[in-house]
Amino acid sequence: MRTHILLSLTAAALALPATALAAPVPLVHHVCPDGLEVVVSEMHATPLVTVEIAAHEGAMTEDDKFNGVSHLYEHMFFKGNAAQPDQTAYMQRLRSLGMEFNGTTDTERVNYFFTTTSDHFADQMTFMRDAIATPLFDPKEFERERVVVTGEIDRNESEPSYHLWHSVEQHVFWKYPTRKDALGKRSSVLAATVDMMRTIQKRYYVPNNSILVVTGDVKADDVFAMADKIYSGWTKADDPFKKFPIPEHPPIRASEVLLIPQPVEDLTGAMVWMGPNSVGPTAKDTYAADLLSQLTGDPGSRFQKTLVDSGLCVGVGLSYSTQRHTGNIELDVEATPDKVDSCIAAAVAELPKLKSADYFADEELKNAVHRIEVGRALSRETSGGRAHSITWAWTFSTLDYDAGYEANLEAVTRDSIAGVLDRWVLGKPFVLGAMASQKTLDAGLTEEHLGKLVGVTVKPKAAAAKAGAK
Amino acid sequence: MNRSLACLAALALAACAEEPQRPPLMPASPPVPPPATAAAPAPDPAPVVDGDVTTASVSGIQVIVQRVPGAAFAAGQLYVRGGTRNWTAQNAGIEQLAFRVAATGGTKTLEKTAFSRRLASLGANISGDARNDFSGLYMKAPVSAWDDAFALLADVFQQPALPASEIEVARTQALAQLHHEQEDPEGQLWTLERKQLFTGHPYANRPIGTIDSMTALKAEDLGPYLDKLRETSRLVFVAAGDVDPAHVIDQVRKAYGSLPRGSYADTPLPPISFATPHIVLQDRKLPTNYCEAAFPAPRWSDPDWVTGLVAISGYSWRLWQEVRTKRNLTYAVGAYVNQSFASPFGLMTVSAVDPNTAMKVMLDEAKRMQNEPMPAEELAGFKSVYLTGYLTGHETPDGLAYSLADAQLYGGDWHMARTLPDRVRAVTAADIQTFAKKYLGHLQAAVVGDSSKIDQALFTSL
Repeated sequence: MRTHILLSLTAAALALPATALAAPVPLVHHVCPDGLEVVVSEMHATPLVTVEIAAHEGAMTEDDKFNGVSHLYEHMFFKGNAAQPDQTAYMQRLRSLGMEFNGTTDTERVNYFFTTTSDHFADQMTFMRDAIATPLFDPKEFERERVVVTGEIDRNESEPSYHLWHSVEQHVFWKYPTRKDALGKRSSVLAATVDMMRTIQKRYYVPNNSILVVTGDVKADDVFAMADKIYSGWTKADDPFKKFPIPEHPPIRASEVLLIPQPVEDLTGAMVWMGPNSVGPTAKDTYAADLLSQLTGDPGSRFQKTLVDSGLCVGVGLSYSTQRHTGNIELDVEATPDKVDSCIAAAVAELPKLKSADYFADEELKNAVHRIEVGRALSRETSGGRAHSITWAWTFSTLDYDAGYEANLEAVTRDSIAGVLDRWVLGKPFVLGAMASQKTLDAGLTEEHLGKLVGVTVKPKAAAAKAGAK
Repeated sequence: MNRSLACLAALALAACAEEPQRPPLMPASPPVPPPATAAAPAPDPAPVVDGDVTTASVSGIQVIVQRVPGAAFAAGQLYVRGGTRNWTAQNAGIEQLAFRVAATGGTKTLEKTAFSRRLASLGANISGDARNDFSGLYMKAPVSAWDDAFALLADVFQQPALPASEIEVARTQALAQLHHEQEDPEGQLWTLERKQLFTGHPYANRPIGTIDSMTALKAEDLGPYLDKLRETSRLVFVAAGDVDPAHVIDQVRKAYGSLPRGSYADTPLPPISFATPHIVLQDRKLPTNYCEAAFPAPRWSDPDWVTGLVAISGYSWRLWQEVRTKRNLTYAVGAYVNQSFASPFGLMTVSAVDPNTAMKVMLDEAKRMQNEPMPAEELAGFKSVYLTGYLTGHETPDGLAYSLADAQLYGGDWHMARTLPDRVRAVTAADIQTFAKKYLGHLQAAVVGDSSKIDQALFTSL
């Protein structure tokens, strides 16, 4: 058992220019005897408490058979357990405690959270413990929830952008596509069994693979004492990732272009490269990648002026998504049908220029760091937001990564940005997905043509055959 | 692309972008005095301190400041009244375009890039938009940057640069937004619903305009249009954060106090018509069917307003339980009061492969609310959840400011924001039943999906 204090993101006292942020907010950290990590951030301005649990789980753990089943499991968390016999009782108890609730499933995190007034804190903690540690997986409830989840798949498939995203990810992560697809396949959700729920539970929903975060109007010592007590029966297990390691994904084999017909007006394109991991030797590139995203997104930046203010593109963004196991670097563009060529060509042409010494002024670099730091502080203004951001840091990187984030961000130089572009983007294989209307396709837009715009040779074929759309 | 799945979001259905949902509110002590409209300016009355809120009338501008000790950030919001009263079908979209460009295009003293860098160095954000009943410029900044950020906000309203290039960018993006709306089933559904609810009503002229009106707008019209809005009788300034109210009032006076007073007064908009139940359908081949039905709701100032908020929140919870949990007919079902209109209305909504069965359960639940008093334990729970939501909506300075502004602008009294919890606690089962009988009916339904599956008589049976 150990307790120590970490500095949160909101902490960092900037030696930088601009406006200083608020005083550091301490995150108090504790490890229960069973290995459950507990982090508390006290916030006493409002009588609210958020209790959140997250596990290292999600799409990254899923092979073909389990694709989408972590998500189904997440739904089953809100069903019967040892204390609440079924979902009706579960909901009744939630209601009586005045709790707002939700859960999310992502590639590397599944999290569950309840927010209510601080007078309910003890009951809230117990409610969470019962839900996370003692799910019943009643077969009847399981069958009903399977249909609910397919209803969620229906809604995703009704949106054009889903088809763009899904098609691109399937090609970027060509060998293990399931490990980036949290929604998963309808077929695997329909084939899932209660035994598979138990498998996930025993493997991943164990205290030593989970974090409990409590934010709000509580005292850290009270939380730790209660956590030690009420989670004492939750049994520790082997590290799931020793027995079931997440395979590191091989690089994109060769650059590809996909045309995805959808009922849309403008063309939306997503050009995706594999980027660095937030843990391990490539983690140092994540800070520069984040800063590059911020710099290029600033409305006053040369990037936006050249591509958007010029009228070439409706919108453009360059982003990096933090992941332990391959974060994407992504160039997103939207163009009106008459400017598809000029927008895409200009966007791609702008990428190498980002390396030049005069592309970003010193002031821009300084401001971008400040923007990110302020953004992180804003994301932690509420008890819920703070809890989510802590579990996000714990799952998608580490708490140490998070605590050192500001210092590492401030150390980014033009050379580090250029290094990110060289190591991950320029000349590296990518997948370009473009979602466009049939009318735009009929006017002559083909994968071969798009390929020429981005320097990829595409063998002629019927564009429609590649359609990811239904 | 970070896409997590928010799986249980059905209880909190998002409103359309142009009509954001904000925490709800309610009335008590004396409201802020309305701005004087007489030609000869009278001296400003002394500010009124009511707990942590200070109010003032500054040359006709209503000012509301809530002090939040210790808050790291502060919010300042300048509201301009009028909304749909200010534009026509022909120039719909002009106010939104003007406010958005004002907030992003720089000022007469700081061109766009310098303006953007200045904001970034402060860690501040300024945005602008137009809504159905008023428009706003919204600023949020670290409290230590308040003065500088306030000065930028003042310039954004008083002397925006409105560069033609920025107007074209914003116009292109607004047109893209209008197209995206028709690509997304939820957007299509809202378009259908809006048409049947607002035909003949000023709300038919949306803040974002139409493809035609946005295309036809001339860049040179934006400046003169904004000029007309710079009247103190139109303005409300709301701030929240660890800022000195007297200082803020002084800043407002210096920034806007010399503007012409004008004679603006809100003229009440007609109520939305809910005469006969009706349905509109749009065929689209989709994996599921998107359905919703609007029903009447009280206005903010009506005595049963808070009852309505609790009742529909409880109704939504019951729908989730009966339609989703017990019968697995959907992933997304719910009901809410759209509070972002001075004439609010309720909406029940569901996406379902079997829409008739789902809608029948929803209507049966509406009838249950009409015919049976809500059990005490259940009502207490709904209130408790509602109050948690109220608190979560008030955790940030901008959340507090939105709440005060909505109460003042929609309800005519900022105190509604403060008294809501007590009014929620006072709601009884009899109140809920009376509300349900009075309002849950006259359905105006809309469906996007397979219209051949829809039992139109069922959808219009309440």
